[in-house]
Amino acid sequence: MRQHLTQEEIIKYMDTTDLSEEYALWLEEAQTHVDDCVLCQEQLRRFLTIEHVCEADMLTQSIAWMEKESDVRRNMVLFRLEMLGQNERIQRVRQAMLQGQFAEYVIRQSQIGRRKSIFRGSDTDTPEQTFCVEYTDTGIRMKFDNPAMTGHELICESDNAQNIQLCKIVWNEEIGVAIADAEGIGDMSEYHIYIL
Amino acid sequence: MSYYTPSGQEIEEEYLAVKADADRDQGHLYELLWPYVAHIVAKTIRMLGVYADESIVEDLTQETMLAVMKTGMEQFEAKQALFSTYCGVIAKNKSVDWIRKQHRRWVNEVEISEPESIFDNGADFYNNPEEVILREEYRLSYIDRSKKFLRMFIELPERPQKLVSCCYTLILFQRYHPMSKQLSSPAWSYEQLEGCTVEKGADRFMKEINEWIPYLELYWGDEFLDEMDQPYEHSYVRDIIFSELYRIKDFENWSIRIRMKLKKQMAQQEYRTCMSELS
Repeated sequence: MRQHLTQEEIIKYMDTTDLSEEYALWLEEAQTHVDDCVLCQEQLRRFLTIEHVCEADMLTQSIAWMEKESDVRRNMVLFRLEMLGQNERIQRVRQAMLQGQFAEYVIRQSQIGRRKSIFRGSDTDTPEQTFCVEYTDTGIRMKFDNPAMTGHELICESDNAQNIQLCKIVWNEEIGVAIADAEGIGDMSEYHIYIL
Repeated sequence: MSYYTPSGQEIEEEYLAVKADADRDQGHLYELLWPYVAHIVAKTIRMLGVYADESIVEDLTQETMLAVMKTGMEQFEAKQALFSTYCGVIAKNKSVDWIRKQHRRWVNEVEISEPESIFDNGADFYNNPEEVILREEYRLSYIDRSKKFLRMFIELPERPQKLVSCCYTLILFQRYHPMSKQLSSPAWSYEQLEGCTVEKGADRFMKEINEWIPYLELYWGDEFLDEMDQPYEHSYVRDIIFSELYRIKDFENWSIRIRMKLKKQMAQQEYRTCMSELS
């Protein structure tokens, strides 16, 4: 069975100038593997994006795009909510998101150990909430000082918007604070939290 | 779209027959090739994570067929490869080139639609949710990689390069976002620039330059680039600060050398990440 494409082979695959017989035979053989290999397909997709990011004038575009990041993320959250279903709870959350009634936070894991920092996102109409974050074995736990936060909905977006979770902030008698638990997939380094 | 996809051998037999008999009608070969090429085009585009409707697949198939029937048949002189294999290469190339163009088009759509228009007024999402989501996913993945790239750029270890990169970032930011005062608010702001405004970042940058070259006193502002071009003793200010690294062209088109270096680094990093995800 063929091995995964190496980095050189990924570059070779994306070459659109070589029309030699040698290349055609190589591509045919590689394609058989790529057709069935999700990992190699992902590598090829990543390569195309990297290639594009590295184009001459792309840093300028990058800056412009990165400024819009929260808009894109909010769109993705809305799309995912739309796909989750149409029940009353989701409709309510979606409506609140559309009307901008949320506070957005970015939780970024530091490269050093598991120290985390919270970056405040957009300004919103909702009252200021203070919370701290703990990493758990399965994801993160948010703890809120203010008991009034109990009952609020919270959306946790991670894995570059692939993973969207709808959580409710609940009162935890044991520790005497309001908490919300969100699960993470793999070694997540960034969570986007929307408190509604 | 569902076609009967003929085998490579079927195509080969017909191709050889056409080659052997100059008067033979090429129509049958064309009919055999079309679904074969369309299948490869559709598969490649889907595999590379881009949405394309039937008309795009048809256009790309048409382009491939033109290339194959016009010049490909004459140029193809293989010892081992089948004619269909060669057609497959052309179809893959056309698809990849189209995706590259498509990426450029999406990136140029800097104005990102507001969710309200997507969900309430505009029918875009409801008409074509697959394309809209793929586009947004692509944007996110682009933003994610841009962040990594910018970080690599800012973190270049060599001192002059780091200065050039910081300066470059600030110049670009000022040029394209003159009204923006905050570098810290967008999520892409990194630890180096965190909590610092454009002004503060520029001050820090200037302070570093002025500390490094104590006999110069430079100021940030519109005059910065002019100051760089001023002669100083037997050289220019820019050469003293950045030596050969500073070229105004690099600021406009930034150095191919640095870009290639970063591209390689980033591809290696992504490759390792993907492999570790597997294990």
